[in-house]
Amino acid sequence: MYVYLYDELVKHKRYKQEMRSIENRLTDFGIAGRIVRLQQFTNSEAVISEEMKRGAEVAVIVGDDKTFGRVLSRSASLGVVFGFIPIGSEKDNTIANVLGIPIGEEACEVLARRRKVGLDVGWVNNRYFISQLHIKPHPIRVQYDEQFAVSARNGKMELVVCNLQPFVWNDTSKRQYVVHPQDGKLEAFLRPMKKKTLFKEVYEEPSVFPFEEMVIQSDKPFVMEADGKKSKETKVTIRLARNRIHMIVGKHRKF
Amino acid sequence: MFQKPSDGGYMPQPDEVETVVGPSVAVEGDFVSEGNIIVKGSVSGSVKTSALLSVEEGAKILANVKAQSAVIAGHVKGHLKVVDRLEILETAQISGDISCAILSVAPGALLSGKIVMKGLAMDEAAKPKKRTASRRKVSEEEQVFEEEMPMEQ
Repeated sequence: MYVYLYDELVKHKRYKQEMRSIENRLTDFGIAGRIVRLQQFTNSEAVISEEMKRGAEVAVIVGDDKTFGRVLSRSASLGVVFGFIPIGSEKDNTIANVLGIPIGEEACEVLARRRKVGLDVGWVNNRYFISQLHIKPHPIRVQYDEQFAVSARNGKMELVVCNLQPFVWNDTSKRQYVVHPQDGKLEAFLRPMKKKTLFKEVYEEPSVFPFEEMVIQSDKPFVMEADGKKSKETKVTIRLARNRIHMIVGKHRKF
Repeated sequence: MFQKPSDGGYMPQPDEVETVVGPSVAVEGDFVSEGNIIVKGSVSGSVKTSALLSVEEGAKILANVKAQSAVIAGHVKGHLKVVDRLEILETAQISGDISCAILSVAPGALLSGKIVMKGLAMDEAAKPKKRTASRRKVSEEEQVFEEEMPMEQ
């Protein structure tokens, strides 16, 4: 049995037609199910476990990257199979691209094929993160896998840890690069800050370190944003949790 | 791993995870990686990779290095043990012993240390066991010669 978790954004009239055709397609495939509409403060973990008691085997997230991160950061350990129907623009659906799931109606075909894989997720201070973790420029010390420590000569560093969401940056010659995350390791991107002007912050070339465990420390509290949720921390431990999520993915997935 | 967005399609590279040490980043400790390593900043401790190590111009390594193959254009202070090919470019400065299978040194590179390469034919000829055997032979002949000499007199 399938349960569909609709994000608030699908209520918008822009997606009315698209949602109608998705629902028709799901009925055609015989995989239509109960629809749960997520609100801003909905506890997705409680909703899914309640549906699992009623017999739900597949929980399908309908929304964009933010919805995906918000639902899975709380419900990754539930043991249900997850599906994803991306809605909106390509810019807001970078994870769908990594998972090989097309945006909109075509995602129903991927869902119907049930190609299931185990995905690695990040574990940060007692909760999961699925897409990306971001720490704004701050004087931090980073230790990787209890083996080596990394520090910046100038002091302040920006840190991005990618799990499923690709990381994009522009280098000094204004070329844009995209680093695609790979399964099996988390990837940390460190960018020491060169200088800060009135209008923008100038960064050095980024350093890239694949890792399984990382400890970030600072004397002063820093702001950490994981899957869109912000918190203030002085010490953060990030680990890789292997095969934590069972997910229906597309043939053209990037791992 | 790095690709321009305009390239479109994704190139699957399951094991080629690249580690990049940026120009103003300092790494301290045992730096171990299974993928390619590019060093633009400074590393101290030890460096070990089962793939390619690339030390770019301006980079500094104060560590013993073990790699499958390596391209050095920066400064290295420590022993270099490369399984396959070691390429030393003209801007490189290496202070330490080098061990590799294939070596390429560009004119202008500065080296200080011992270079050991496996597969040298002279090594087998100069084995100590053979040397002792030949000495024994000589000594036996000398003994025979000494024994014969008094008979002639």
